[in-house]
Amino acid sequence: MITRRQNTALLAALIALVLGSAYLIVERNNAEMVGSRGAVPSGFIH
Amino acid sequence: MSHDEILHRAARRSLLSVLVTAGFVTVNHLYPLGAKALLLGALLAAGATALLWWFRNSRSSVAFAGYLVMNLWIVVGFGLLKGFWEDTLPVFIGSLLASLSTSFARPTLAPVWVELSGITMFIGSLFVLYNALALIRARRASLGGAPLALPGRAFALAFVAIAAAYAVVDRDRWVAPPNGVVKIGVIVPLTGPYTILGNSFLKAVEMAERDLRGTKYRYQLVRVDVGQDPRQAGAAIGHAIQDEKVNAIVGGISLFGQVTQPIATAARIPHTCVCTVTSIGDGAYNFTNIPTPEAEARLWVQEARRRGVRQFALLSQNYPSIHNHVKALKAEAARVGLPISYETEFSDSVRDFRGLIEAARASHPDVYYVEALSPQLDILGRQLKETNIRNIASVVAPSLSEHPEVFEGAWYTDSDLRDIGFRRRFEEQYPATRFATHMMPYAYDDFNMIVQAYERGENPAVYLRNLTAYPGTAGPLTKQRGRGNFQSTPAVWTIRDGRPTLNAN
Repeated sequence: MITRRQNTALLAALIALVLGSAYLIVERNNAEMVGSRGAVPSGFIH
Repeated sequence: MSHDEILHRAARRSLLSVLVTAGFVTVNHLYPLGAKALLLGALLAAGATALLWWFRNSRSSVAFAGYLVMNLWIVVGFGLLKGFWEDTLPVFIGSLLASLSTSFARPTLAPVWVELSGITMFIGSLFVLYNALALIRARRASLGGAPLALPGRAFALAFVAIAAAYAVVDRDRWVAPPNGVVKIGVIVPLTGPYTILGNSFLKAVEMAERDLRGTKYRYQLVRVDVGQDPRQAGAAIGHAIQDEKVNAIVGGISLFGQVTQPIATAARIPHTCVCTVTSIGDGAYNFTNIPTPEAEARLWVQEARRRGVRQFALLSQNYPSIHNHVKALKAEAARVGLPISYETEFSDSVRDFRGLIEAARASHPDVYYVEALSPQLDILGRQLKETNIRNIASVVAPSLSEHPEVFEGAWYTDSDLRDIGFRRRFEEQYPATRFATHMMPYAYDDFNMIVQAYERGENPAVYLRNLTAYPGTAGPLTKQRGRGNFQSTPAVWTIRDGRPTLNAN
């Protein structure tokens, strides 16, 4: 039987895991979507 | 513990979860709403607090119902529809599905802090839901009602069902065009400073449409004049998608491609763009097709070394697309150890280049790299000619010159237009229209790629994601599966007898 404190710790760890993995996924996704050239300057003719 | 104490404790916990979640809602909405998000957060926090205070002091059923309605707004509106459906599911399920199959577009995600606040908003709403149910249970007990069980399993099943529904909705499927007509929006500026390029682009697509033979479906062009100002182009593009119901978009010029990109993504229709800004090609619904400045730079440096160039001078206009070429060229020259003897960048108001030319000549370059837009390009070319400087090279620019004869003998890199017949047919059909080698073949190919997708009975966005090779009008096009940039190898051209001539190599 887990205690209330253990329960809270497990819940906090689970939330941290969800947010941590989301952070990694979003960072990687956005880096790949923006491409290797970074910011887009304005005024291109093509 | 008395029923009243249990009720108070449940109310405190419920309010705490509402206040914390209102904080996440505020942070999440700062991105689209700006400072107005603070008002939203204040409304949620103050409204919930006031209603619960009213209930505490009066035990009013109206106050209690009002408080629960606010909870419902947070759980369904912010937690479920926004936090779960728009943030949590795209981040986890959307990314997973896109990595497994190209039938699913890679999700377009907001900056990381926005996505994380969306997910925490969803997690917070689960606490709001749990504590609201606990509050209902406590109130029921205080009124002597029968205990209320928390339907935990039902909720878990509901979330699994919603996630499954997301996977079904997220998939791009083949849909036959209504009445057998595929509408293709042609999005280019047809007025203002881009008139020449925009009109040439449109004519290349019109030629591609006329060249079609024996197709299963009928292909109808929907011309969208986006005007001169990219900021106002969104309305015209939105009209083409919502009212004209275009099935796909072919476009050109990065400024307008950048505006089209999010609109095409939202409508989930493919958008091909003859754009040098590669970030427009996200590989989800947007794809670019033109030689990259890096590819041009590699070939330019290779050709310079083949011609025995030991150092070169750089004279270029301060203009973003030229920056892109020059930046790539300098990087490639540095990589292979080719020195730049002189370098200058001039503004679009300069008309007398003689001082710059003399300074460049004093550095003893083997070749002068010049790149500018008309009319400065031609003025610079004329002044170089007057100074007896003939060893000129460039990327693309001489092909766009109003007076190519000024650059007689100059060599430059541009698209590898192996199908010269294509150019000849274009010039026969449109004798008064300038053929921009850097754009027209790609416009023609972009249209035909969409046609191929429909003729094969494939969702055009999925078809483009899967496409890794295409026999283009200006040489083979290649792309990594799932990526958004078609790559092509440029070629070396020379101005000979006043006309661009493709070098045989």
